[in-house]
Amino acid sequence: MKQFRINKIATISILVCVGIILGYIESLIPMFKILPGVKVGLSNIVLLYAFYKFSYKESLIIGILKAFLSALLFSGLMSFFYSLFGVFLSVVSMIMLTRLFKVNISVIGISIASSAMFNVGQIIASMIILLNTAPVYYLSILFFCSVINGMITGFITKILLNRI
Amino acid sequence: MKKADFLIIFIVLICSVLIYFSPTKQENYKILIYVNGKLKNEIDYNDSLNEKFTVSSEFGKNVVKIDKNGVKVTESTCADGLEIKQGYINKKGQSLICLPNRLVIKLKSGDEYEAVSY
Repeated sequence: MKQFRINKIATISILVCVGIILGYIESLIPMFKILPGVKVGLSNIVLLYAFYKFSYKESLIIGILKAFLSALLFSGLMSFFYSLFGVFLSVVSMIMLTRLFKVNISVIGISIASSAMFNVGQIIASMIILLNTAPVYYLSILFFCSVINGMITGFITKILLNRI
Repeated sequence: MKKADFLIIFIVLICSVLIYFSPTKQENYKILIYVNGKLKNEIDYNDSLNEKFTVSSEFGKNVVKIDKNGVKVTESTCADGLEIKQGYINKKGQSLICLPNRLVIKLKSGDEYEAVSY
């Protein structure tokens, strides 16, 4: 039992590290910075992987830890607030969709939905900070990009799940 | 790719299009009227406003009209009347300027925040 727990803690921390590094690598590539706020979301791969390999709990833990640490390391703590809403909503969407569609849905669909919900969370956070409903209009662009980005991360996760 | 994947892509794209074409909120802005660099009048704009008033000073007179289309200058004592030709202004940051009469009408954002840094 103890062995099992240590194993899990180690796995989770490795996944958190991978997530942080993926997020950092992504921020280094200027191609992904055409629109503000639009990212491919490579660290979403880690969340999806944890969700499929373990359960939603691990996915949520990894998401929150990753958001907190990358906020401390690279951007201000304000980005933690943004990511927190995003991570929470995207994990909730993963749970809901797997319960709702069961075998009819693949990683790609869940990836798209979770990246769209991540954007919704960020927009909600920015609405709370600004006390204004104006950020909602930006969701249109974010949703469109999240379909493309979700497909990319979904395909990568699919390959990853088959190999590891 | 399975059936539900396409359903999700479809739903997200529909949401995107719906938000894009949703009617934008009426912009709330303040109308600032300056004469010779001094702030003379400040009005909160809303589209039920319908008034016409004269801004007069030692440099000349201008008739300003505010209605649902925005703000415009209808009459002016200046020679060229460029600000009359400009017509309505109704977006934040736009301005009507009459140099001979030293009149500047600016539209400023009514929101508290104009920019936020992360």
